[in-house]
Amino acid sequence: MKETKNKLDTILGKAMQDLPLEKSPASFTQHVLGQITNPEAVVVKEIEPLISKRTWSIIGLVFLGAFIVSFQIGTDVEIAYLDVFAKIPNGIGSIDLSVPPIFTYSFAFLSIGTLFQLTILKRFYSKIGY
Amino acid sequence: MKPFSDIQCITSILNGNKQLYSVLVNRYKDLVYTAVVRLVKNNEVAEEVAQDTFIKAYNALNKFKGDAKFSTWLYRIAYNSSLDYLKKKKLNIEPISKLNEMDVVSSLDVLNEIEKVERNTIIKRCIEQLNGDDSFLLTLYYYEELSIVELANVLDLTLSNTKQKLFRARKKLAVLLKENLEKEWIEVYERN
Repeated sequence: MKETKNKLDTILGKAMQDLPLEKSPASFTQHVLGQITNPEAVVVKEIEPLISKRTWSIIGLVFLGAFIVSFQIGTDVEIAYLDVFAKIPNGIGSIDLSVPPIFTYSFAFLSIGTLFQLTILKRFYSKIGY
Repeated sequence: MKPFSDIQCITSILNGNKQLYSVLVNRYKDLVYTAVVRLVKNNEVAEEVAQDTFIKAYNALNKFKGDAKFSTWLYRIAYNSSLDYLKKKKLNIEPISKLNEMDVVSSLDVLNEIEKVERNTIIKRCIEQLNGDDSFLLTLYYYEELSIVELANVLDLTLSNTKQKLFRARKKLAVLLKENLEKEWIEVYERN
């Protein structure tokens, strides 16, 4: 019984030892020494979310408000302010190409949205020090 | 030139020669990395845990008393760091299959007849199938040839518990090898 156990142990030992060790990454030692000799070099930046919980709450409330209002006043709403966009020339005379007003509206809202996001992103990155 | 012993390195590091720590890192990084990768079963996490092990060891170097080997002390830090990671996950402990040692020994004799590359692939597959804890234990036992006392020190277990754990781990590996070898032979048989 003991002999069988020893034989099993020898076989397993040989099998395991034949298997080469996993190679640690090339920069392993360098990274460890870097952390030891110059711990300040590794600055842990605490990243805060781009949109805070408060802002998400406001956005949520606005959506909820818009949803409720649209149910209360129905869909017969005059959105006269959109005429401003409709007045933007939407034709390219020389090649006889025109785009539908909805495209102009979408493009205008997308531009406003992008400008808004750029401002937020700029503020965010300057705050975290980039 | 005779290489620095672990104790010589540690004394010199504690006297301000920080760069000498690279000797210790280079000496043990592959074994620590291998043991950790087998425990956490993820290369990226293992790299992070292994590096963390060396940094923790460096920061606690003045607490190293020298009553045990530096490597044993290091493996203990590696084991605890890995466990910290695994605490966030559920440890999956598989039941041990019934084993007839005579039967397994005769099956494992086949290992000698298989080509080395193929044999290593099978063994690696079996080690990956093992529970991380068992894999870690067997790696230290067979590669570093740590004694039961040293293993007990690394795992912070009693001698009898360590013996039992090692016995079970070997059993599991033997069963896995037997199963994988049988599969392999069936595939070879089907190919021919």
